[in-house]
Amino acid sequence: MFDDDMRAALGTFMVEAADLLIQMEAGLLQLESGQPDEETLNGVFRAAHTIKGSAGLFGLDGIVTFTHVLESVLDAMRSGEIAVSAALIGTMLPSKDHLAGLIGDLVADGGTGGQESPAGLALMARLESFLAAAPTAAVAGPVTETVATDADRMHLSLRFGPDCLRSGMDPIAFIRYLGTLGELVSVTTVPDLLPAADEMDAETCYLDFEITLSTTAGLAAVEGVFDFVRADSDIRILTSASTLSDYRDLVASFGPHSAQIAEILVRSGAARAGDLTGDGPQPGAALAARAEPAGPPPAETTAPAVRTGADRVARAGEVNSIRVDAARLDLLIDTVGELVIAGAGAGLGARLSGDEDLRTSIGEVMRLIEGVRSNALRLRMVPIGTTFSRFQRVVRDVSTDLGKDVSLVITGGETEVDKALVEQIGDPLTHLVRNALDHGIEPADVRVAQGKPARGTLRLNAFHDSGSIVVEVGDDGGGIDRGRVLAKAVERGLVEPGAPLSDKEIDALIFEPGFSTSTQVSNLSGRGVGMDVVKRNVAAMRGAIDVENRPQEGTTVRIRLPLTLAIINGFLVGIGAATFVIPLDHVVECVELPVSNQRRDYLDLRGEVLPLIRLWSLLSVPGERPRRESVVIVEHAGSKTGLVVDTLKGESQTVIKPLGRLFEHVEGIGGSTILGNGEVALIIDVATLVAYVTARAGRSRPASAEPELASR
Amino acid sequence: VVRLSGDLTIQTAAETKAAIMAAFDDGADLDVDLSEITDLDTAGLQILLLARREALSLGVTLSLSGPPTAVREILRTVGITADLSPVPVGEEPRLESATGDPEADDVRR
Repeated sequence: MFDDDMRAALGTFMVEAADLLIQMEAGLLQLESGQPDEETLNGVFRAAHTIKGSAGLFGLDGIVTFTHVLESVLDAMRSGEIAVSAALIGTMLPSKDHLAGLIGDLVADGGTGGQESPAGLALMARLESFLAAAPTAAVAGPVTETVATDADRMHLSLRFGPDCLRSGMDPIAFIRYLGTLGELVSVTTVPDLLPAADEMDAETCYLDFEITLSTTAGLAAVEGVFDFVRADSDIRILTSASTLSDYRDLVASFGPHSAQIAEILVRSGAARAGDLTGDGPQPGAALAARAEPAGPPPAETTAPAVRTGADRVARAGEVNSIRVDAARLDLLIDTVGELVIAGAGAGLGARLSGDEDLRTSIGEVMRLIEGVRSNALRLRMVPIGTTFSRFQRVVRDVSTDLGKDVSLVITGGETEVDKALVEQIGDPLTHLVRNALDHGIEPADVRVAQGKPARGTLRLNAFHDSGSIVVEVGDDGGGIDRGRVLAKAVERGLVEPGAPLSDKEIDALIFEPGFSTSTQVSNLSGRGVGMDVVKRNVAAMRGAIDVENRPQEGTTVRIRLPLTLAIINGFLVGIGAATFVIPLDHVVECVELPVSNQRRDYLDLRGEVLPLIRLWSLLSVPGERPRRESVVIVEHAGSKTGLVVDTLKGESQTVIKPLGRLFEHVEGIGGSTILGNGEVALIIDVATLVAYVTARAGRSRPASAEPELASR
Repeated sequence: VVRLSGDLTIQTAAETKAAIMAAFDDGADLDVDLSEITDLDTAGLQILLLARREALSLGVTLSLSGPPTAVREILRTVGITADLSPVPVGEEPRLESATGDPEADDVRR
């Protein structure tokens, strides 16, 4: 029965539910960390409630049943019957995970909601045990039969939006779901709004439903049913608390058909005839009158029914952003990439033709393409904060498992990163965070003995730095024990015994494959599959990773990533017959190589000594060297290096095409691109080159470079 | 006689409407056979209600034959009997919860 429209609506449900679950988790963590805050609790409750309501519309009974129990517990928390406790949150967080799993399974099992798994039943039992501890907790909704009194009667007037059928929302499904919230005392389908046969569009909804519902679920629960359609529909819910004028408004809103509606209201017992025609002296509608013998109406039904208006305004605000399938965005970016290449080709042709008008118009086109490119790339940028906040949960769970007390401090969450990077950075970050919690931060007693606060701190930070984004994972733990790292490296045969390694080189050993210093293997990390995997993942994103180790004070692992994966601004250089691209973000300046400097491996740049790399020699490019060579000064992570090239060809937009698998281990080359004239150019990987030179200079400096300098 | 089959839903609403409206053209009484209908949604319901109104205005009789249990159940949920007249509100049969016995109140009055 799940046709395509329904499937589309189900997709929307899944996306919204995922958002709600994130809110729910954030709320639960907040509840655990601080004083029970009413607004947070309400937020969590609403999230659970909306998921349940929406799942009910799709007939996802498994989800409804499970969420119902969760919602009941939350409701009891709201009313103060159950106090927030670590045990409670410790049950609710896995319940939220289970719910996410159930929703995720919808894709697999075609939307039946599935059977409750043993794990789900166990969670439900645990949740219910909290309810049992609070005997007065009212369980509302589908699974319990409660006797509704007249006080719980509501009148619903449902005029669904004209497009609801087309968007997969079937009013009948809503009415069926209402039937699970309570008893449908009467349902009247009003066909009077149907237009004449030849004007009637078969796919537009014209029907009005007038319903009397007897339920103990409360106004909020009934209103929640319509969350999905409220923006386009006229949904009016009248309770015993509604005033006579609410009824008159309802009747008046039907214009020429108001007489029929008034008759329905009277027939269904919701109102008295005199009240609706305007002469009724009694304040309060018939629902209220009928409620009298049952005593004052319960608190929940006194909530003003007009709240729907405020909801509608809130919803209108959300419409300012739209969800776009990531694959479509990728397609756009890809096309823009091709456009940039084609534009470069056209620009080259225009220059060669010598036609001044053509050059001007192509220049204008290029300017626009540039605008499209930067806007298209910006579409993919998302703040990294959402990824960071996921770690609240990781830190909580892991530190609980380890018996450590750790707080997470997040900064720079607003830093924007390419969506693809955000997705790929999750795994390496998880590794790093777990590592820091497991190996970095010491147990509380050790910390206190060292004069540190008992509570450890884990920091996640992000910022932009010269065309890259830097993500830091820092802890205030014990740092990396260099002696142990070195001993382990020698033991594993990674370094020769007695090799003179700088502190930085020792620290970098932790990224070597199969390296782990943990003396005991825990189930969190310490199997020696951590850091090298992290480094590989980061390298796959064209990023670099390094570690800042402050023994006894802590460790900071720094990941440097390109802002985007698709297009870079390149600087074209010629070496022999070949053209290479240097990412422009790394280029500091260009100078001519002084003739006097042609044999040395360093360059004196206004008093600063820079190592030189002769690309023709490093990359084995054949050909005669020109009389005058140029130097492109590049900078990476604070170190400058000069790259010696034959010619400078200027800037160009470059779409990165990955190298084939055959070349994936070639060092110093980060990819390839197609130039405007159709030639292939290789992209220089500055990070690898600079690292290579830094390593070389570190070893040779004491022997050659400095004495030579001193002699000048 | 118009014989409908399969799902009477938004997917088929337009063609169903055309078929029923065309059947009115000869001015004779119309029997809509629902026995092959597997599912009914609001779009389908609208078409049936439109047909009833059309029949009234043309002065012909519209009868529905053989709605399967599932369809009858849906009609009952929205307060409509199998002959498309509204269930008088506030009298028996009261609409029990949606999972009640579908045959219980198939009462024509």
